[in-house]
Amino acid sequence: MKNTHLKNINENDLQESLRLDAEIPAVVHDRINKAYRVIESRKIMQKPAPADPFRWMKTGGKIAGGLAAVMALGFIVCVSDPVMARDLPLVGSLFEKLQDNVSFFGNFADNASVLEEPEAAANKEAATGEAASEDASSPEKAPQENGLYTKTCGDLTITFSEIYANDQAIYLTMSAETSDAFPETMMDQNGKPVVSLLASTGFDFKEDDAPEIQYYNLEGAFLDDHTYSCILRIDLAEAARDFTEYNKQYDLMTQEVLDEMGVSMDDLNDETEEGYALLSEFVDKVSARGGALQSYIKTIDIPDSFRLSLHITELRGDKPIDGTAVNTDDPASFEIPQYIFEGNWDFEIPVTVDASRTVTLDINETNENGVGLKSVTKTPYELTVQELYNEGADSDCFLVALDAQGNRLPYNDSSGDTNNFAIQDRDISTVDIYILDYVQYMDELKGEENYNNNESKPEGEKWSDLLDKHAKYHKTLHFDK
Amino acid sequence: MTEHLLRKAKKGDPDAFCSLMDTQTQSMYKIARTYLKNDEDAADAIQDTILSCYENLLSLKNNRYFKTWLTRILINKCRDILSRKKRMLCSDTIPETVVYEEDYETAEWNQVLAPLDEKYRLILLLYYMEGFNTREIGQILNLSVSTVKTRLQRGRQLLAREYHYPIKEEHA
Repeated sequence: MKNTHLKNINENDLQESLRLDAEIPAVVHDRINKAYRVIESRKIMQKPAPADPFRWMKTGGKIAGGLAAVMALGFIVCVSDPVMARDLPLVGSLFEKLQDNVSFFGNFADNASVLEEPEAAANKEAATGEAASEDASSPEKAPQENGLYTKTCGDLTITFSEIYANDQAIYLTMSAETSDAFPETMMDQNGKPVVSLLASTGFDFKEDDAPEIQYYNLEGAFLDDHTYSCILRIDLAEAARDFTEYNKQYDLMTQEVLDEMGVSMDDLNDETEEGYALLSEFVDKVSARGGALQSYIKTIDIPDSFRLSLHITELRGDKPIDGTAVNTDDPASFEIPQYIFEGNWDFEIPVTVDASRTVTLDINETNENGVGLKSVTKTPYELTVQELYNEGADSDCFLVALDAQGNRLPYNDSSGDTNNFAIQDRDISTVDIYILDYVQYMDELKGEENYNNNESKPEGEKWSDLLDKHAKYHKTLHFDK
Repeated sequence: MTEHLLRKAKKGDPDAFCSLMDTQTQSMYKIARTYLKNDEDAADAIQDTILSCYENLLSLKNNRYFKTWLTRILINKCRDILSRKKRMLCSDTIPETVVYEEDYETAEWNQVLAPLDEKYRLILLLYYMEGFNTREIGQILNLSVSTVKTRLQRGRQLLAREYHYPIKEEHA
C-alpha cells in the first residue's frame, strides 16, 4: 500500500512519525495491569544482586564471520571495578588469578613457567639507574630499562611474569601499572574491561621475519585502580605460516578478476547502486577462486624453543559511553572515547613449546561441493579448524563447531578468528563441524535461541537438524576424553 | 525522572517500578508489534518483560543502560513467543488464528516503515524512535555492529528512494 501522504518525507519527518504516540490497545493495558497486580501483591520478589554482577546475561562474544573479528562490545552494565575475589601475591601467580576468567579458560598455572629476571640485568639497573633511550627527541616515549621483563615508558610500566606455550599459541601474564589511577573503563558483557594492546611480534625461527603489527584484544581485570593484569595470547600457529606466495597469488587473482570485469578498485568503492553491484560481483568471483589459493600457504616448522620479540607501542582502553544517540551529521559521535598510553616497551622473551598435549586430526578431504576440511587441532584450551576448498568452489562460507551436546562452541575472544574456539568445560569427545553459505548463515541460521540447550530440545528441532539441511559440508569428529 | 523512579524501584518500591514501566509502554508496544503480528502476543511479551525486569532489576548495576537492558529483555520475550508458535505449527497443533488488526496497519508510526523488509524495520525503529546507537542496537538484537551499520545504511537508502528525499551518504 503506497502511503502517498508520506511521499515527501525526509529523515526528520521519519523520526517524528516514529515518535508519534500509538494507541495502546485494551488487551495490552490489561496485561500490564495484571503484571502490576502481581508485583504489588508481592507474588514476585526482586532477586538479590548476583555475586558476579557482570554475568546476568550469558551471551557469548559476538564475532562477525570470515577471518575478521568485530569486537562487539557487549552489554555494558558497569564501570571499572575490580573483579578478583582472591587476594594473592601478584608475581608468580597471575595465571592462577586470571585463568578462570578468560574465554579460553583452563589450567595454565600448573603448566606455566615464571619469567625470572637474570641477576645481572637487575643489578645493572640498580647500579647505574640509567635509562636506555631509543628516541632522544621524545623523552616521554623513551623507555627505561627496569629488567628483561619489566619496562617503563612514561607513566606506564609493563611486566610479563609467566609464560606457557604450545604449538598453537603463546600465553603470557602481563601487568600494566600506572602512577595515576587508570581512567574509568568500559566493561564488556562478560565483565572484562575493554582494553587492547598495539604491538608487533617477531620470531627468530622465521627467516626474513618482518614484524607484524596488530591490535590484541586483552582479557583481564583491574586488580586495583593502578594495575591492569591480563593473559596476552599470541597466535603461534598463524605466525608459523608463510603467506608470501599466497599473497602474491591472491594479488594476481584479484587483478585478473578486475581485468575480466573491465573495472578498477576505484569503481568498486563507488557508493552508488552501480558500485555496489560491481562490488558484489567482484566478491562473488574472488570467493569462487580464493579458497583454492590456500594451498600456497606454507607451514613453517616451529622449533622446541625460540625467542619472541615483542614491541609494544600502545595500551588503550575504551571509556564508558553515555548512551546518547548518534548524531548522523557528526561522524565523531560514532567513535568510542578512549584513553591511550603511547610509548615503546620492548621485550625479548624465551619460549619453550609444549606440544605434548596437542592433538591434530589431518583430514584433507573435500566433498562434491568442493568444500571440506584440512585439519582440526585441539589443545586443552582451544580448538582450531582449517577449511579446504577446491578450485572453483565458493569459499564465501562460515564455519560452525558444535560440542557433544550439539551446542555451539564459544569463540576465543582473544583470537578474533571465527575458526578458533574455546573448549572451556565442554564435552568435545564428539565435535560436529559444519561449513555453511556465509549469507545464508548470517540471515537465516544463526541466532541466540539456537546455540545452547540443544540436549533438551526434541529430535528434529535441534540446531544441528537445521544446519544439516543447509550445510555445504558436515563432519563429525571424535577426540578421546 | 527515569533515574529517580529507577532508584526508588531498586529499593523495592513497587509503585515507583510501575510508574517507571508506564514511561516505557509506548516504546515497548511499538517494538513488540514490529516483531509480533498481533496485540495479544505483544501484550504477552510486554507482561513477561515487566515481570522479568522487576525480578532482575537489582542485577542492573548501571542505571544509564536501563533502556537498552529493558529492550533486550523485551526482544528476547518476543523471540520466545515466536519460537513457541513455530513449535506449535511444527507439531500439527492447530494454532490460534493470527489476527492482523487494521489499526496496526494504518497507524502512522508504522506506515512510514511499511515499505521495508522486516530486517530493516526494527533497526530503524530502534535508531530513530529510541535513539539507540549502533552498538546498543547490536547488543539488543545480538548482531555485530557492522551488520547493524550495514542494515541501517541500507534501510535509510531504501526509505530515501521510496520517499524521494536525498540522503547524505556516510559510513554509518
